[in-house]
Amino acid sequence: MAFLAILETALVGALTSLVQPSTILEILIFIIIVLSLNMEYGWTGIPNFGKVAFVSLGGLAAAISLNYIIVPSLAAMAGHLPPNLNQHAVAIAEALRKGLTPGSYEYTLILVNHIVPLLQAFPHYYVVWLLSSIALAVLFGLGFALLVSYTVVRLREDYLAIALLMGAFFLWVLYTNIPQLMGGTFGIVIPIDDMIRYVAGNPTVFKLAVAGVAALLSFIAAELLLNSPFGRVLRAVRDDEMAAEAMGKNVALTRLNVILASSVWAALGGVLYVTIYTGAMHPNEFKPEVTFWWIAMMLLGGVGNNVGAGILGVIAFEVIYRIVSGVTAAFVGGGFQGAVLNMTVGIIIILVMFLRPRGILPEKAVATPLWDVYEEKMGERPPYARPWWKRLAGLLAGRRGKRSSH
Amino acid sequence: MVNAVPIDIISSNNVWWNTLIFGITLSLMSVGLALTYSVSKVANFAHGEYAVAGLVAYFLLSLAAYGSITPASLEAAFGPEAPGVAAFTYLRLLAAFVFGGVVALLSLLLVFRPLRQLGATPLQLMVASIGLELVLKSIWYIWYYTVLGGTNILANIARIVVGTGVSNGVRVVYTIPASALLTIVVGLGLLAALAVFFLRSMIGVSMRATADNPELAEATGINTALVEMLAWFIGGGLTAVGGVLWFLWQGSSMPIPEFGWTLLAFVFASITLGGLSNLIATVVSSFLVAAAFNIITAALINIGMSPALGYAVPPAVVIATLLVAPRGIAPYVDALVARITEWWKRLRWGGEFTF
Repeated sequence: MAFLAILETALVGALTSLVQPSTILEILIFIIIVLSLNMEYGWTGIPNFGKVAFVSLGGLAAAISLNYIIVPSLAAMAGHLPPNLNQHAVAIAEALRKGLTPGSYEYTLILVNHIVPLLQAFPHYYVVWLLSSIALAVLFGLGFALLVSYTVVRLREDYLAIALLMGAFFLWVLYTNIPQLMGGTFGIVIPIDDMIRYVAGNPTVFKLAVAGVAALLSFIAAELLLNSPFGRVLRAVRDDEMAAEAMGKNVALTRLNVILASSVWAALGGVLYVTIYTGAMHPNEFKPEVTFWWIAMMLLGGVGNNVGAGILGVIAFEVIYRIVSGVTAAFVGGGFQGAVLNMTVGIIIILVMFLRPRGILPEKAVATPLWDVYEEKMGERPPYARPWWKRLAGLLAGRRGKRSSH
Repeated sequence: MVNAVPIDIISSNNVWWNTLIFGITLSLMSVGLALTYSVSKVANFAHGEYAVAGLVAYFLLSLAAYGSITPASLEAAFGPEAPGVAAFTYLRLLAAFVFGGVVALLSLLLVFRPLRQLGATPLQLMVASIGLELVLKSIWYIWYYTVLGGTNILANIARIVVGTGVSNGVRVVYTIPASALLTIVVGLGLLAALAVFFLRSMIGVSMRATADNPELAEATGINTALVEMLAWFIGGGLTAVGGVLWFLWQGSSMPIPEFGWTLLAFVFASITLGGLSNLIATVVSSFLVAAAFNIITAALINIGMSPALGYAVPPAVVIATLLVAPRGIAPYVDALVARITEWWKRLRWGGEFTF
């Protein structure tokens, strides 16, 4: 019975950790990232095994704008401030003159001890950081996506998968070994909660609100994009390249557009990931393997379905993840937790491929204006073309897609 | 002999010896992936794990024979003081080949073939191979920390004395690292055997036929299912032997389960540069990738940067290849091979030479 007791404790612990604000924050940010992955893999058939590269470019943008925009501009205020603040600015200027490498212990001390008091006085610098990170993230995302996929979009999917995965690997090696980018092996950690507190009061509420709004916006954007003529082109490209080409669609250009759009999207998710959620710009957050977790979420939820892949998949994965990690920690000990979790992700991917290749919520037909014509003729939309909230309402009312009488 | 200074003829500090030995091991691993890719058309991201499978078999046999793993027990290959050990080294390499081959074969039989029969697209097979990679890597991780205790294992220590001499008035002993000699003998031997297999044996020719056109090969009476299984077994086995040889030369600077993932970048770099399924071009490009990696790492050390930055070379090679010449060096190697064949025919059957 001791076994059952331990199991119960582990499960209860796992499930309570699910409703923690930090878990909800993670889910919201993963929803943004997985939606952008779904746009590539689910709608267009582009196997982006290097998603984490583009997310990490958001983190890189945040790190660069912190190191090379915010910190120097705070240091430039030295001599123009009241004495209690001036000492902090002078300390930062001193550190910059000595040429401290980002990621070193002294640099972290400067960040914690001197930047936070200055931000307390000038909270708009947090907003400047956020906005400049976003601007840089867009640039980086576009540039790197162009570099990796410009010629590869004309080739088969295998080449795309290899190129994108190797792009992620390349960036990760650079981040780990060049401390000027992201602090090297130690990363850059900043007290995010303190920074937010001076801008917006309660950090938790602020973080949840920003992440929630961002996730909602990207969900709406995904639904609108998918249910537009452009979304129909994407599916045509995925299902039959040659037919799409014959209909006059430029397959390579479509793929390139999707990769560019989704990369910028992911980079923005990456900015939120470091500026709102972790506050750490650390190379190990952006290991190439991280992509596979997002792929598992997307496959689990339902490839090509925004509700399934983007929301249900992330939540279902998070539930499985918490339960497995809780049970592993209780029975095996902490040492093998990472290995068991990795194995779980692998098993999820393989099992979904075998048992439910279309995921929990399979893909629906697109609700483009074509269906309006159908609706005019038939009096009702076909059930599979109805938006999900109407389907849900219909299901709750016990009405299962009757065809109209004429 | 007591005061003699040892001098390595094959030194791991030398870029070109490193290139030769890493090139041999890398070409074994890349040929493995090119083989499975050309027969099954699956870009297998779990391929690096077969190299770790070889290490698993090699270490388990060493552990069973010696009770503990020491550098000397791992690579005592040609030592005159222990003539029986060399045979045991070959036995361990054979075990690595078989185990790596069996793991590759099982991944074909348990994952890829059933999935394909269920109607999975190549894209889905690729995703499934990622799941397989995660599973295998976790198994190796658990094995590494339970059986070996997670220790870093040194290698490239055993030396073979090849001669003595006097240099500047000091008596010196010329030595060769055992792992280098082992790699050169076994690796070049395997590559030569592979060439004979593909050019002369009936099974090798059937395998090439299956790779070129499965339907036509099937119509000719070739059992393509069996040929595919054989290709995966050989591919996994070559990768395992390559991984073991590379480990013996390089030693472990990282936990062994990470090896597969690191090697995967190198393997993908050389098969991309080699045109994905061209075996000869893959061997050539393996040496090119190894040379690029070693030269750039040496240059990084010279200018005082982190040598680990050299691991950015294989992904950079992939990106640059796909950006500039997506077919890699395959067309040029093919043209060269055609010209050499032509010369050979002229030489043998008569005719005039043209350049």
